[in-house]
Parts: sequence; C-alpha cells; structure tokens
Amino acid sequence: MITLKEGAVNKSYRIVEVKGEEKVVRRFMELGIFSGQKLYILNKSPLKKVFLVEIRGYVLSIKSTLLSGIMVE
Amino acid sequence: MEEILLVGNPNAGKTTFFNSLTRANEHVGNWHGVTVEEKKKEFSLNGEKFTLVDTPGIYSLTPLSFEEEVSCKIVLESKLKVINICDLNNLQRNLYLTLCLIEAGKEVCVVINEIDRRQKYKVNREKLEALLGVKVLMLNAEKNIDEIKNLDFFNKKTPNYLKKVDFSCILPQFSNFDDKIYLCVKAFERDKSFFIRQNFKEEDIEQIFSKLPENSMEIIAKARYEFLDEVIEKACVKNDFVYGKSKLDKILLNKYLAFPCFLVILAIIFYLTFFSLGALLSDALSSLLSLITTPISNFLLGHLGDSFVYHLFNDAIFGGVATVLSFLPQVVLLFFFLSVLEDSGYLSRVAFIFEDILGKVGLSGKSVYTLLMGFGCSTTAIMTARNMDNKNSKIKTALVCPYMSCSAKIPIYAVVGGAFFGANNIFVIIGLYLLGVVVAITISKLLDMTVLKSNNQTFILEFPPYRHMSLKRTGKVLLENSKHFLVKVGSIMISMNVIVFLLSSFSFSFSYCPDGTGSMLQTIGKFLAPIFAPLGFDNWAVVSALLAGLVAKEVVVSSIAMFNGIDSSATRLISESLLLPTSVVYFSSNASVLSFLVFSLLYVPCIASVSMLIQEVGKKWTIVGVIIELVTAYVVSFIVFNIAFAIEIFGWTFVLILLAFVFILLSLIFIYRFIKRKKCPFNCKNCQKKCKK
Repeated sequence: MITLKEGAVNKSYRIVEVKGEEKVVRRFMELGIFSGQKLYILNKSPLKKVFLVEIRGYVLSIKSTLLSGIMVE
Repeated sequence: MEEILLVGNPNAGKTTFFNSLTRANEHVGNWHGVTVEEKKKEFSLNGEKFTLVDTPGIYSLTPLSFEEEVSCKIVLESKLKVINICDLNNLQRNLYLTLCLIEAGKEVCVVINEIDRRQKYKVNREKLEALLGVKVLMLNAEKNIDEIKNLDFFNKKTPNYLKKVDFSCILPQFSNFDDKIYLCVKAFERDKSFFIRQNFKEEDIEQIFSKLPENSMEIIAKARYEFLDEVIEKACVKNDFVYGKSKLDKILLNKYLAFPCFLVILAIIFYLTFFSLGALLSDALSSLLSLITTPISNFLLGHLGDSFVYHLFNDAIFGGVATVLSFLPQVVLLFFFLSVLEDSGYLSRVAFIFEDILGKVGLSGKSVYTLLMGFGCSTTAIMTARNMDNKNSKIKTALVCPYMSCSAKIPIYAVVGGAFFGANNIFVIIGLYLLGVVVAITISKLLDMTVLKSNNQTFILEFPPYRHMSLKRTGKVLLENSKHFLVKVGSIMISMNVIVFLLSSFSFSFSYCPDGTGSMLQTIGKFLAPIFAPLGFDNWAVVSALLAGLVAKEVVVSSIAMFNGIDSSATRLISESLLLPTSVVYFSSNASVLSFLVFSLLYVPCIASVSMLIQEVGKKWTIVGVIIELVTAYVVSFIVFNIAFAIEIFGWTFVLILLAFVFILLSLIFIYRFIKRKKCPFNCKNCQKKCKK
C-alpha cells in the first residue's frame, strides 16, 4: 500500500483509505473519491505539484499535497 | 414576485443558463463586503414573473469556503424553490448535489444541461424523474432553453437509500426533533456550521460528533453514490469515453513538448495582437479617426489661431481619443485569443503546466497569459487578469504585470541606450527585460508572503475537455470587454490626458506657455530633480520627461526631443544630442543612463494602466501598486547606478571582488542557518524556528 502521491503516471490504483484534514476528506467524499473506488493517474505537472487524476469517468486536477492522504494499492 | 434559486456544481453552466433565461435588469448584491456576488435578475415564464437568484457553485450542502457558505445558507435557510442545474457530462457527480437538496426537503427542478455535442450519458428523462422524485428537464443552456416552459417544482422524497444507513449510534440524540433523519445525515457529514445555525450548543455538537463512527462521512457519501450508480444504470446509457481526457494531451501535456508547444502558440498570438494584425487595425482606426478630427482641428486653427483652445482639442482631447482607440484592436484581439484559449480548454492545461512554477511565487498557472501579454501592453494585459480564479492571485498578477517590459518602452531603450552603448545596446535591452521579470517575481513573492497570501481553496479542480469554441459567446465577451474598455477606461484616460496637457502648458500663475518652458510640469520637474540625484540624473529636463512619460512611455522620447529642440521623428539626431554636454537633456555617464533606463522600466508604465488597475483591482490596491512601482524603480535604479558608477571609477576587478565578497557573506549566512536548522534532532510536526525541545 502506498499513498497516491507516490503513484506513477499511467497506472491504475484502487483506493484503500482516505484520511487527512476534515475539509479535504469531505471534498474528496463529495467528488466520489472514497475507499473501493478505482482511479488512474493521467499526468503530473513538471514539478509534480499537481496531478491529473481520472476517476468516475472524468478528470480532476489535484494538488499533490492533498494526495498523501489517499492510500492506494 | 416569487424568487427562485439557481444552484449547481461549479462549472455546470449556471451562469450560462442564468444569462439565457434572464436578459435584462441586472442587480448585483454584495455580501459581507467580500466580493461574493449573488446576482438577481427577473424573467417571465408562461405569463408569470419570477426573480432568478444565481449562487456560487457548490458540490454539496456542506460548505468549505466562504462562497459556498453563502450558497448553502440561502438554500437551507430560505424556503425558496430551487432550479438545480446539472452538467450532463458529469451527471453522476452533479446528481450528488441533487440528492443533498432532496434530503433537505427542497422543492427541486433538475435542469440537465446538454451543452456538448459529444455526450457521456444518454438520459431517459421520465425514468430519471421517477427514480429521483423531482421534476427533470433537459435543455441546452446556451442555445435552446424552450423546455423551460415545463418548469415545475416538487419533491416526492422517493430516494430511500438513507434507510440502508445505520444511524442508530446518534438517532436517540435527536428524538425530540421532527426531522430526525436529516439531522442524522448532517451529523454524519460532520457539518458543524449547520448545527450552529440550528442553535445547538458547541459542547452538544462535540458530544454528538464523538459518537459517530470514524468514517461517517464516507458512509453517507458511499450511500449516495451507490444509489446514484443504480440510478445511472437504470435511467441512462453510458458512453465509455472519459470526460476531459484527450489524445491531444499526449502531445500538448507531454513532459518535453508542453513548453515548446505553449511558446509557439503564444508567439503566434503575440505577433498577431501587437504587430501584424493589431498594428494594422490600429493604423486603420487612427486614420479613420483623423478623417473626423482633422477638419475640426483645422476649423479651430483657422478661427482661433494657434491658441490654447486649439491645442486643448487637438493635443489633449483628440490625442487622448486616438490613444484610446489605438488600444482598442489590442483589447479585442487579446480577449479574442483569451476566450479561444479558455473555451477550447487549453488555458486549463496551461494553468496545469505552470501551476507549480508560478505557484511558488504566489501566482496561479493562469497568470502566464496576463504576464506574457504584458510584454506587449500592460494596460490591456491587466484587463485579462480578471480571468483568474481567486481574488488574491488576480490582484498579484495585475500589480506585477507592469514590470513586464511593454513594447512602448522599446523606443526609450533604442534611442537613449543606443546613444551610449552602441552595438552593445542589445545586451542592455535583454538585461532590462530580464530585470523586469526578476523584479516581478520578487514583488509577487513578497506580496504573497505578506499581505496577499494565496488561499488554497482551489486545490481540486475539474479538468475540462477540448471543445469547439462558441462564436456567440466569444462575440459576447469581446463586445462586453470592448465596451468596458472604451467607456470606463477610455474616459479616465482622456481626462488624465487633459490634466497632463494643462500641467504642461500652464504655469502656476495660470499663464499659457505654449513651448512648455515655465509650465507646471517643468516647475515640478525642477522641484523633483534633486530627489533623483542619487540615481545619477538630477537634470530637470530628464525628470520632466519621466513625468510626461506617465501619460505614455512613447512621450518620454518625444519630450526629450522637445527639450533638445529636435524633431521627434529624427531618432538618430535625438541620440546624438544626448551625448552633447550643451544639450538640455544630457547624461554625464553610462551609469546614469543605465539608471535612467532601469527607472523607465520599473516606474508607473502609463496613466492608462493605472486607470485599468483602478477598474480591475480597486483604488486601494492601485495606490499600493503605484507606490510599489515608484519605490522599486527608485531603489533598483539606485543600486544599478551605484554599482555601475563604481565600475566606471574603480574598474571591473574591484567591483567584482566587492560583489564576490558580498555574495560569500550572504551564502555564509545562508549555510549557517541551514546547518542550524538541520541540527535539530526532533522531528516535530509544526517545526518552528525557535525550537525549545
């Protein structure tokens, strides 16, 4: 199990756990990012500060600092 | 008149729908002095009149930011009916909000916006309506909203997914309330502000929350999404493509190709806006204008002679109008390209590429467009800053934009620099451009660390797909921005032009001085000259030229020509005159020339840009911006002058040794601090510098 922040581009992952600041977790929940969900890392920005993540059939850009709370496998 | 709330996810097409449905009577209300705008407009439907209230976009009824708080509050506290606009391509996520509205017992009409040609879902409207228990309409918010005639509001509370959730842990807490289940839902969402609004005591809330299972938010979100999965399966046919994913991104967002692609696209835009097409249109407009103004000027000259009134009209007013109009093609083209970039979805990708680099200095990825356009013209570029997502990065971008050396400064570099540096002038010019960028980055970073901190609210953004642009929308954007520019910015520019004209042609005793000698501008120039002595040019004529340069940077060169008594079109003669000690405008050393160029680069670019700043970021920040511009110009010129002067007197080696010394000293301090920080053996969470452990 790793955090999504360590995930590689063009790989699929399954979320095991979402934790972190309550505000952030709540927003993840609203967007359908919770345990059991599959996602795919499409791209990372040049300094790897922003990730493009495909989930539930659409694409989100997420700041990588938030991704350390998402445990995936 | 009945009010109806317009609620939806960010980017679902609320505002588009709002504009399509209501055409006039804009009413903008401010909340709490923060620029959270809640727009109200009237519309009539089937002979009845309603007021539509647009609200900031939300994902659920649990607010995270202040803007969301505004929306949630109106939704939950008012009894108003709700139009819930959903984007067909993100239907599932959008319906999540719908479920929240249904749970809250609102009377809802779901409007599904099918704006894209390529659609992710095919919806069976009747089935969806039956499954959700609310009215469902399908329409294209931009082109065809006829369906809205069937507008109806109800809430049958059909969805029963909440029955599957085990609320037993906190249900007894709410036994005295009517709406037990909804309170349980809100508790599971840990929505503290909701309970505070319901007059619960702080400790009661804490006590209720402590009984919740740890993953309560996940439980409730999962319940909703599972229900939505069912709904989508029963009522929709799903296409397999991923919304926002494109093969084009393999190239345009490629690790190595992204930056070159962007630069090529930008170079084309830049060339078209400021040179070929833009310049052509500018010329056409000004010759068109002179068709009208020349007869009037000639009439005035014929009847009143070479008098003050003639000059007021010819120089100040018509000149001002001509300046405003010469900007117009640029404004139109800049916004045309911006709206193409934005609509096509490329701007979001540019923002993505630049986010981490610009984020470091407190700007946002989207600032790139504004900043790079600043190399063309600060005034019009500042206007594009309104496109930014949050207020602070908008202000920072706008304030920093003038440091990008605009094209109007090139004549100064060419004429003044050319006189002293000859063939080496090209390196001076490159150096000036780089200096501008460095100063911009530094100032942005400083603002970011002090008064204009970046707020990280936009940490998760939806990534849009590539789209065809809509001509109608682009036309609207262009029309609005041109109107805004001509009316608001243009009027300030012209009046400022008149003021400077009056200053330069009247003395303090209000006698008319046609050639500028003895005028207020000159008196002020003479008065201010000693202040510039530390910068190497206490020549009053240079200072007056800089003052006149506030109108526009082109005026600096023409004022110098005027003072030296040379026709302003003969640039070579101007350059030569600067070298003659007998001239009025004369620089004694290369150091003072350099300092003059740096000052020209960094001080207030022009009145037009200031009036634009007032429009875009307000008076307060404009004043701050102007002060920063003057202070940086002074300080940086001072440093440049003294270093250059030292080089002239003591030679390169001495100064290099001195600089090396300072550099070594600074790095020693840095290394010392670095080692000190490393020494701390404790890995505390919020490590403060003064660790006492």
